[in-house]
Amino acid sequence: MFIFNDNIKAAPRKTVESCMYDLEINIIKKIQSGDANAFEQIVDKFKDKALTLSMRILKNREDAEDSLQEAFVKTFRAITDKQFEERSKFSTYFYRIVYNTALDYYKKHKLRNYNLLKIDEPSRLGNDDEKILDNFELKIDDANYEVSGAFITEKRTLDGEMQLMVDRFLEQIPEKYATILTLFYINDLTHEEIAQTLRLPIGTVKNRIFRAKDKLKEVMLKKHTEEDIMELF
Amino acid sequence: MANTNRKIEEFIDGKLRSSRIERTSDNFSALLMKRIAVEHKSALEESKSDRLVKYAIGSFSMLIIGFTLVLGFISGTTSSAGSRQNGIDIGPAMETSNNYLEHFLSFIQSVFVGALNFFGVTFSSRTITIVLLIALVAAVFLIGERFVLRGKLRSSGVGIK
Repeated sequence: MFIFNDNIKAAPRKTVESCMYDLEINIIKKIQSGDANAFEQIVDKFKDKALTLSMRILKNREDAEDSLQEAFVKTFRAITDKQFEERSKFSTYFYRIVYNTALDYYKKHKLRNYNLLKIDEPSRLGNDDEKILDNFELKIDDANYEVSGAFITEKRTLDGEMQLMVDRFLEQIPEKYATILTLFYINDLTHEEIAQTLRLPIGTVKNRIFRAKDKLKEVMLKKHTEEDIMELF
Repeated sequence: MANTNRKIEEFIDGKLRSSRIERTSDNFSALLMKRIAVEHKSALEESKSDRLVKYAIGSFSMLIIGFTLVLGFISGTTSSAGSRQNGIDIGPAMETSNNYLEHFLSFIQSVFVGALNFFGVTFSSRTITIVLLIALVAAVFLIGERFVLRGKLRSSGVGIK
């Protein structure tokens, strides 16, 4: 019989992380010794989360996939040319390539994004900010939530609606906020790693996460009461 | 109130963590691995040609160094009484090679002066030497860039920002 306490619970997580690290290093060593097919394991592991990050910047699936292909090729070259140093975390290194490649792609193709939910400069935007927010909420109303009443409880419907609201929020906020939220919540990077990846001061990273979450809370509470949310616990 | 706020924060954290992860298209990995295979092949070929160029440059450098050493050795063994007569004796072999070098340089200078005269421009030999030196530095830089810097820049995708 196993007895769990906090220390015992924390240990396996660390072991899993170090095992993942060892696994990545082993794959990298294989690639460097000439086994190019080993790179497929890295592709399979990172492609979806990396595409999510790329989509936050480019807001278009086709462009995001093109840019991601380029990022993977650059990563492969960096590994074979032994530019990647083992002392740095591979995911941080890789996501920096993904981020830079997507930004370059954006600049090269001069993409334009409309209907972005502004978080910055509320005083300058004034009523326009409210207008954009209203527009954002209209989109949420029009969305097809794909939940049919008979089999799903009211609670789950509300939960699904909230999730959809968060997904839409992430799709529509400006890139500088969406990128940081994605790197933190989806790509599992720490504040320090995000600061390193985006070459920003750590204070800016924390501030942007705080502001974005604050705005999301505001959007949620415009549509639902605190009691509604508390009921979901 | 504080408890409610904390719970809402937790709720938002949870929702952000479970937000939608985009899925790549079905043929994404297959297409990418084809590109990687091509990249791997060309990298192997490139490293082969790089090695060849390195050997060629290395052999040439060794030849020059060897030539200089041999000349130095010959001039050392052949210098004798002449040094006392004329002050400094650099030896007949070294003298011959210096003469060749001198002829070669004066030939380049005369071609350069002729070309400039053709356009109605005249410079002192000192200016021409400086211009030739700058041209030499530029040529060395361009060759260096071709063989060393270009390869490095091509493979870098990290330091863009």
